[in-house]
Amino acid sequence: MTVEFNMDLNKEHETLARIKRVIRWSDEFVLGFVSFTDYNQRDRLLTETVSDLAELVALQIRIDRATPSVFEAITAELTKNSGIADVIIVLDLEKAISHLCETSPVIGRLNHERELFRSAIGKPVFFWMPDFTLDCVARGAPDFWAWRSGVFEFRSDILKPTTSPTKQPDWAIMFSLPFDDKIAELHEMERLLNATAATQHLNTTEDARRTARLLDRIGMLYRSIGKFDDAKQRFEQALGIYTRVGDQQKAAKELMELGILTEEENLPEALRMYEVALENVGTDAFLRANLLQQIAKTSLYLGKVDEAEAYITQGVEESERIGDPRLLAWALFFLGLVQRTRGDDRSAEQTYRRSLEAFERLGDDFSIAAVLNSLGALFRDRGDLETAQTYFSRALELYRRFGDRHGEADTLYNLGTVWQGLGDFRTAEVYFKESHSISQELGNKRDVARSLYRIGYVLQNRNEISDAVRYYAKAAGIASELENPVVTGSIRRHIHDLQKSVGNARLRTIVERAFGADASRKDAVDRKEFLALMSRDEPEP
Amino acid sequence: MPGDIVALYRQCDPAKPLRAGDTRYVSQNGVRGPGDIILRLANTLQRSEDPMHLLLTGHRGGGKSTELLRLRERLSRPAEALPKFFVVYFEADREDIDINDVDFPDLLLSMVRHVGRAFREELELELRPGALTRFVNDMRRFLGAEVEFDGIELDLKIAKLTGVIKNSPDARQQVRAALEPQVSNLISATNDFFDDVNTQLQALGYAGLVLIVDNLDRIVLRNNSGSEYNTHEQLFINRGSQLASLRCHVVYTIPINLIFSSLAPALKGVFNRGPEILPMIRVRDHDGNDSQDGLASLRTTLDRRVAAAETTLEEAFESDVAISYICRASGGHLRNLLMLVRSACDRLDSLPVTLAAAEEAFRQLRNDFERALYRPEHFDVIRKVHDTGHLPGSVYDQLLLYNLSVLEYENGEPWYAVNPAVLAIERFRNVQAVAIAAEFEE
Repeated sequence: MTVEFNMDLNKEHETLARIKRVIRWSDEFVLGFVSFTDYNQRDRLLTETVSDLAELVALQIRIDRATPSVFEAITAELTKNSGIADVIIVLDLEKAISHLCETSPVIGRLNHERELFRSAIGKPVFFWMPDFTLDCVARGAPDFWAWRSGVFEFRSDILKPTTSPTKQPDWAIMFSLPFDDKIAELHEMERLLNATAATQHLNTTEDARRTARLLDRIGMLYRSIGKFDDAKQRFEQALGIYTRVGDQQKAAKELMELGILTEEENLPEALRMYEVALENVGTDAFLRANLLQQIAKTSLYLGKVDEAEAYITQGVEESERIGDPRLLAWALFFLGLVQRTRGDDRSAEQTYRRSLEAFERLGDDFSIAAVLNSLGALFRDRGDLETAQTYFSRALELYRRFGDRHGEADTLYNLGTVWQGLGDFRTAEVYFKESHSISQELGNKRDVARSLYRIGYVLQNRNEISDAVRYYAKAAGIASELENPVVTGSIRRHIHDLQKSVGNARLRTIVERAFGADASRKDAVDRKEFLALMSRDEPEP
Repeated sequence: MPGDIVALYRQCDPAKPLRAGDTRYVSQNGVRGPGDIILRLANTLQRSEDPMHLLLTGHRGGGKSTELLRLRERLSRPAEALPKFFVVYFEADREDIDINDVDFPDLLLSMVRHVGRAFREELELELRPGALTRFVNDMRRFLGAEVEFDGIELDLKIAKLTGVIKNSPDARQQVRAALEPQVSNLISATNDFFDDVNTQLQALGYAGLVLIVDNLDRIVLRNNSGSEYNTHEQLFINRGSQLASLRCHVVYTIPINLIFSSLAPALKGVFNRGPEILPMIRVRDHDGNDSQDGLASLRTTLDRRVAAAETTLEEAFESDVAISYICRASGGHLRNLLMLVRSACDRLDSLPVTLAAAEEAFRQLRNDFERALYRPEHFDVIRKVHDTGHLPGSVYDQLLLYNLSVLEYENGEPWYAVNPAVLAIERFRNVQAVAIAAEFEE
């Protein structure tokens, strides 16, 4: 989409003035769409609009997932308000349509209830929605869309996260719970755990198991909000208990959870944990299939594509045999990753879509967000940056809704790469920095490292070489602790590009100046790692 | 004066078709294609002794409803010596049909209901067809005990029935399952009803009944699970022979993409004639030069709107350049024309509409179109249309016509052009640039 991203205040006021004009000028049904990129922005602009139209009655209607028909929601609210309203403002359509976008039945009904809007409402109706939701309306309700009298786009403030995560009553799995519900659940679990500890002393195997189950659940909740250290602590405790009581299968499950958390920092170690777990799964076919998937994924990240393919093929077969749709959807997702790595993007897209459909049927929004991110990456790498942006934006919306900071950081990073691809380095930098700040807060080293080298690259493009070197060096310092060849390889490529562009000797001088003689110990490590990567052979393209 | 701009804004409502006789109406005969489609349709109906089932199609927002309302006027108030018909016009999606999921029996019941209501309200006559009433009474078992049928007329009973069909997918399936084996009997009973209607009308001096079913082109396009036919093909081709078996004149609107379906020849076979197509107003000729007649006609359209706003073109627009810009940018699509004027107006506090505001409005329209074009393949097809003036026969042809990215024009022969708003999309330009570069390399 052709975007003027850095909307200045004048432009914003101009757009607000247009909205107010249309509302004041309308003496019957008029359909307007207002798009925003951030809820803080929406609330601020909406407040301003309503307060500037103080002479009019603005009826605000919020809809949600349980709303089958926007028209009916409006008429019900109007009736409640005795029909008194000069303008109707509809909010939260995106929550009613969720990830279904143009295929949502709510969107379909908008299309065929168009005439009713005109004949029965007879007042201006303004929909305020995130930009990507407007795409869903344009695609899924073309007749309704065709009646628009104006589209008013606001595009600033994109990075401020949602302040009020949504209540979603029907989440199928814990990871998809809204953030507030997760926190409430966490408090409840912690309370139960304390109560258990206070009254029992793990004397019996059953007591021990009960405690371990609680620890496992708490660990999952922490993982789902990106608090990996807390999660790790709980899984380790659970692993200790299961090992003590001799329950190898359950211990294998905890080991798998620990492996997932270890992936961020130490892929070979994570792989080892999965392999040990796989040896101990016993008759638990579900866990076995799950582990095969994890091993496939980790092998892939370690560059072992053939092994990954063999494992994931096995994983798909096991999942089909077990007949668990969620497990199969994940297996397909990982298969898509393998296909992408092999360069077979066409198959990967199809596989991702199958996986997405399966998750959509399950209503598993957490997993949907993950697939959306991968689809976004696929389109981004194909050069279709707009489509990529749409997928990433939808994923970001979901992650923010769950309060999944890890997913949020990951998606912000991806959006940064899109803006970088569009040549808008300034916007890209904002995304990378936001992603970096969340990853730093969460202590996710891999994500910190990659956002650092991306910021370095942005600075390099602005010819701020000295600062770029600092960022690359910081990234190199962290990467050296990670043993993650993908991250290290990427940093090395960036440094080699820089070498080519400024020349070896000059770059060494810049490095020395950038860190100075009184460099801290940490800086010295970073500088050493930077120079080490500089000296390595030219990486594979 | 700001008042003028408000009046102009209000006169350019893209959501309102013009009623017959509206002074803002401009006949676009000759600039859409040769001849007057409505005259052709009216002649066919007035001269035929047998029931005719005519199909009309055209782009969404291109003026079909306005033209159909003209057809109603022409048939119900004919020139002297021409037969006068009792015309029932209705918008299929307005009350009782779910455009997301419509099947032939739903449509049939809706037709009967509208005819019954028109008889009661316009002629003050009640229709009491025995067989059809029995059918409808029989369907009551799906409505639940709380729905009362006693003492109400057939069309009101049908309204209750179609209300349930529309609002309850479960009941819809039950009703459909029960009706399916009896569709022939239902058609037979409905035809008896139409015979009765025509007899009564002839006694009142009418030549008979004409039903105009508008907005059927808005049936949602999607593939039916477990079927090789999409939703449009299902109703108009699979069920086409049933639509064509009714014993009264009917004009159906059909989606424009259907005429490019691989099954389009079957459509012609079923209805014994192809659909009439209401093309866009030509703003350019096939060779890309301005079509002066088409642009003049659009200018007249604007003139009527500004006159209704009690101003003049000279006062309403900054310059002739601004007027021409808006006319060209519309691609000859009337709704786009009105949308552009509205969007330009809302950027200003007072008249005249400036070229700068018109350009901004066009940029917005471009962004709006871009929202619906999200696959790279869309642009490949659009480029081919742009290069050749033909549809390439791709799987995206139907969608691109449906969402107005590609427009149909006619001048004896049909041709296709990319909507100007789509031509302005950066991504289209990139595809063009890549294509040009590739040709250069070859």
